[in-house]
Amino acid sequence: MNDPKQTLDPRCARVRARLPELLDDALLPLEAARDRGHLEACAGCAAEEARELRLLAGVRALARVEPDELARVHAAVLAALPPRRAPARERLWLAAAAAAVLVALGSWFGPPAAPRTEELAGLDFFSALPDWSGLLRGLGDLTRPFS
Amino acid sequence: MDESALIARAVAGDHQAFHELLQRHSAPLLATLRARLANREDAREILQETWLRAWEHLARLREPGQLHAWLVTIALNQVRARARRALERGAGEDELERPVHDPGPDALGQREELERLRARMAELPARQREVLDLRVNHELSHAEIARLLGISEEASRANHYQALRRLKGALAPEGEDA
Repeated sequence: MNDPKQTLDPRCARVRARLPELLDDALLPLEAARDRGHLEACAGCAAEEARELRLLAGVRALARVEPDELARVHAAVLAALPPRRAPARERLWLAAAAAAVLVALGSWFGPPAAPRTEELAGLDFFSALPDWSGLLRGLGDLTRPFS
Repeated sequence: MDESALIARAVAGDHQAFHELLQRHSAPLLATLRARLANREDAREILQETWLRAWEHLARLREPGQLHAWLVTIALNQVRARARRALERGAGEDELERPVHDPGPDALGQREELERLRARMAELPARQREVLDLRVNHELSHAEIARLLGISEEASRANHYQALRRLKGALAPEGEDA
């Protein structure tokens, strides 16, 4: 039986040698277009391309997992998810809202009520003022040597 | 639904959106973990832990398009951490990371071919097997694979193509293996 590699057309040999690169979109556009053109015209090389694609499909098939097994893992993941913490910005807003509530409560229960107008009217403001006369007299004594 | 919208909803605490992400990304992750760990239970545990970490840190993911690569990174980091812990315990390396030869899919009518392919894959150098898995099953770009494995993009491509060339013989008819 003849070895097909010995009688392979050089163009076929080149196209087949770089099929992995072609299928990986790793060839320059011009090279890729030339190889694709050849594959359309050459049944032998097209069969090689199909074999290459079957190989990739086989690699994927070996990596297939059973849906039941995945479903069990997913159920376990979902059951174990901790509750989300509010994002930082949201936490800031919550803190601001809490502070506003505290201020509001504080103003409601906290400081003594301001005196009412009639209470203010009853106060003798002048009697509460300090006696400034002594201070003024003292200042007068200080200025006398210069006069 | 668009994946970035799902991520945003999951970040806001929507379990249903997170479940949708689980369904979209878990299968290749579990396949990769099963191929690397000595038993299926460990693979499932690490997948679960991967998703719980993803839930915790999802808000930090800046590019929604990078979700899958990010999940693979979390999963592989955990495999490495587990291997380190096992080594510290004095476990043999063989116990830590080895491919699991499960029965695999046999309803495809291609069982023999797949078995040959599986055997060939087991013979590949670890790096080639790793790159092939990330490129074909996770559909990561060579740039993403390079970042993930700490290799150059060129090395990622070279490993990928070498792996495919080595595996091709597994699909040839009996007696014509390359």
